[in-house]
Amino acid sequence: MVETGSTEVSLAKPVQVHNLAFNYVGVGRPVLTVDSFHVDDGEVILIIGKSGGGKSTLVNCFNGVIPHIFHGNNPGGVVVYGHVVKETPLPKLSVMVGTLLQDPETQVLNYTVEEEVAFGPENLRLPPEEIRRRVDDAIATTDIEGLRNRETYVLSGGELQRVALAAVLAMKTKMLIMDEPTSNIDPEGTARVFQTLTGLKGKSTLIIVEHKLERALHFVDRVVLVDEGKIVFDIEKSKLVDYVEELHAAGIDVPEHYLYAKRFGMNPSDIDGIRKRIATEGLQLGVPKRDKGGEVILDARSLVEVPGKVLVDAEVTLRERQVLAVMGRNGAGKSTLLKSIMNFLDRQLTAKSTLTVDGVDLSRANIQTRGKHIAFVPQSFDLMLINKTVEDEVSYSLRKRGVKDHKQKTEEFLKLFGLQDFRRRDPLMLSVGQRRRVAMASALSAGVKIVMLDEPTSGQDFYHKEIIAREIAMLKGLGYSFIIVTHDAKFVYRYSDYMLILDGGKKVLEGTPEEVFAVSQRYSVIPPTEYYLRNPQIQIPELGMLGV
Amino acid sequence: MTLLEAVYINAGSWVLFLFGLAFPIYLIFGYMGLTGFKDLTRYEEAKTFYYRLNPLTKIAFTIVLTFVVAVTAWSADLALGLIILVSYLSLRRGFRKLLLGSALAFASVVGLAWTFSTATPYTLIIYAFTRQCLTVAPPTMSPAWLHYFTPLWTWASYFQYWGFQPVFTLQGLLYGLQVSTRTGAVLLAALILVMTSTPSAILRSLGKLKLPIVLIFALVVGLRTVPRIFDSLDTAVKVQFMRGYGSRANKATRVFYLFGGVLSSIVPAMTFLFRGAQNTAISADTRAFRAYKDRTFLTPFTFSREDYILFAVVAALVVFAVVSNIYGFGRAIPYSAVGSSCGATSTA
Repeated sequence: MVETGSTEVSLAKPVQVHNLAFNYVGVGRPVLTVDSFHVDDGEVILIIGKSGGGKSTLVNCFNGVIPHIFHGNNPGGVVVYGHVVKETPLPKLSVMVGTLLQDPETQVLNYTVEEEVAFGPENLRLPPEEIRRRVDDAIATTDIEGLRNRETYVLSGGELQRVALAAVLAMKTKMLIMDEPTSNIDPEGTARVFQTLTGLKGKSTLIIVEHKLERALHFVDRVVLVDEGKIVFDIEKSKLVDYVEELHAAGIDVPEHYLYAKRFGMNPSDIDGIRKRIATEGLQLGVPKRDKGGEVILDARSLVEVPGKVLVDAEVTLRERQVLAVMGRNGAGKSTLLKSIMNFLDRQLTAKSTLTVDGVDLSRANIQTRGKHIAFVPQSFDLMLINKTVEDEVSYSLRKRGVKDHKQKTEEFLKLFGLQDFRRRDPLMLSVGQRRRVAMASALSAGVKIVMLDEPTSGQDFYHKEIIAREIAMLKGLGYSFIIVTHDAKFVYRYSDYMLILDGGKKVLEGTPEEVFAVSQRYSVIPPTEYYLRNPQIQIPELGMLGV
Repeated sequence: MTLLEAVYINAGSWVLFLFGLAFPIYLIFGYMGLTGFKDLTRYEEAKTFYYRLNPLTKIAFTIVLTFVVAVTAWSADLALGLIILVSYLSLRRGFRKLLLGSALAFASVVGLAWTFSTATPYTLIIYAFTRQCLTVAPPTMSPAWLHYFTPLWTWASYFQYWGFQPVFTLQGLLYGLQVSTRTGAVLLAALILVMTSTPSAILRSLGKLKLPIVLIFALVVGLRTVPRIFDSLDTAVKVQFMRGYGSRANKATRVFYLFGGVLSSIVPAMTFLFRGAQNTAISADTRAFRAYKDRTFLTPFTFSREDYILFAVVAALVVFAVVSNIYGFGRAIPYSAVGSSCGATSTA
């Protein structure tokens, strides 16, 4: 037994928390308050909640990132396998708790996959034979044998995340924490990660922080909702259906079939049964409205190659006031397609593209000229923010293009995006949501009517996705048209008018989401559950493969 | 001085001054571009000579080369630089890397030469060329001064306020070129290490040198981050162009807009990368990094036949430097066999 404060804790428990009140240095009020919490050996726990609610802070208290990397006042007791976290050095904790983060790009440090997986065991000063054994085991578990000698920087997001998972598994920790491990990867990559995690069930204690409630739910034991720095509920998975109101109140996207499961008193995993019951009851579920749009406003054909390989060979047509979604696996050529339309491609790529916008042939136009007609907001939108104030950022394009009434137009865009109160603030110092709005306003202020968004919902929670959706709807009403590259099938189903799927750089499917989702599984684009609820003729894939 | 002369001197001075700034910028941003930088700073797998070397051998080669070029005649350093450059052909995508390496080395030589040739005090140049130790140079354009120097251009008087010597001389230019030539060889050799060794191989080698693990890790993460910096800058600059920056540029001035775009993108690119750096730190520390003062390795640390060949080259370089100096063909810029009137034997 180890003593922490006045409370005795069992050595066997992976996690025990008593009277935790954590606040970051310089922040007066605690950002996380937990009276009591524990994790039992072998449990699989799902932690949910909206961004900024305290989920990551909670798990960072378990793996020692708090207080060893993020400093603050941590008077409460967090004990992991009998070790008081704040008194245990991080390297010592790292042999007990493994951590997988959201962004695989920034957590992979080494050049080859094998080197990356070996990094942890090498730090532990294990003999080369043991390192080899662990590397082989981790590579086998995550099914990345084919990637073993590949360079990490050429891997897709999904592949990279499995490499990161293998690197964590090679530490052979008793507990694994996964902080939104599938936020930045495609549905296929997400399914593969969860497949691996399913295989670990019963062998390790797993704590998963996820926005994708539907994806994780089928194999967890407990669900913990964290909101505003507090644990709102900590329940068995089977009872989740009774807490739908609390989930809604906390801004969590509750799978629609849960609502019907609750109404019919059914098991939420029985989606087929639920949709049959919906049909029996004669319920008419609303179907998202698809706008056919006006005249064709953009017509592009792109052929992008590197020596010996075609990266993109596709054409895109966009109509006025239409939201066109582009989906496909990681590496299918989606972002390259957007970049070729914008003339953003790397010089080493050979591109033969034609582009007509609103009847104007821009095939030979440079970036500046294309930018008069089309705005592109990259996934890393922070890179757009080069000015010292929000106001300067929004007026930048107008000033650079010599627009006379730029002050008036700047005001209009500040108002449109609700940025008046931040006009004097440094854009880089704002919250993620505010920064994204500044990037959007500054992209649109050039007077464009076509907006291309690369992964706008990546890493965003339900609340922020809804804000993005509202903005898009509002702008669509003002005459804007959108091309959106995304992995988010639910977002596409709810908010797009038309969609296309790229595979190997080629357009393989296009049509309304209803038309495309009917056959999209063959290209690893899996429809969301709400699509299956409305289309009883479509066979439902196994639970772990459902699109979210 | 007539108005026409004044205009002539001012305009000429500014053209020359801007040449020293603009030409390297043009080479780097106009010819190489951010993609070129990325190619010169990133490992790509291959099996040729350099790739088979232990990184420690390459580090030793670069260090020894640095000393050798510092103590041998500039012409030898130029030759060494050219030999290393030609050896780039053995790299993966060797011809492209040879062109990029040439551009980067030439840009650095021109940039440095321009700085040294305009700002080096006359007394130092007189010492370097004649080994005469004057405490004060003769007045410019006096017969005594002309004995030492061949004037090429008289700067507008206010240029002296930012460190320029009053007159741009042939000797200053030669001095600048000879100093900068030395950097080319070292730069090209250092890039070989980066282009032909994985960051983890470098980590392993530096560990053998008993460098503190935290310092080594910082270097490795730096190496891993360099291509990402160029990627981020590339996106940030293109987004600026999209938003109208450089709308009025023509082909000749576009490269300077690119340079301006890079400057204004540094803060957002770095902010973006630093946000990611936090994850990198967590990723390393939660995998027992710094658990011990040193590490073991999956791959054994070995030297191959190629390493011994390069060690022989390193030894030959040392012998070359020693022999050159013994026979008076080493040290000083430029080479001078005459002893110093100051009695010192230092190199410039």
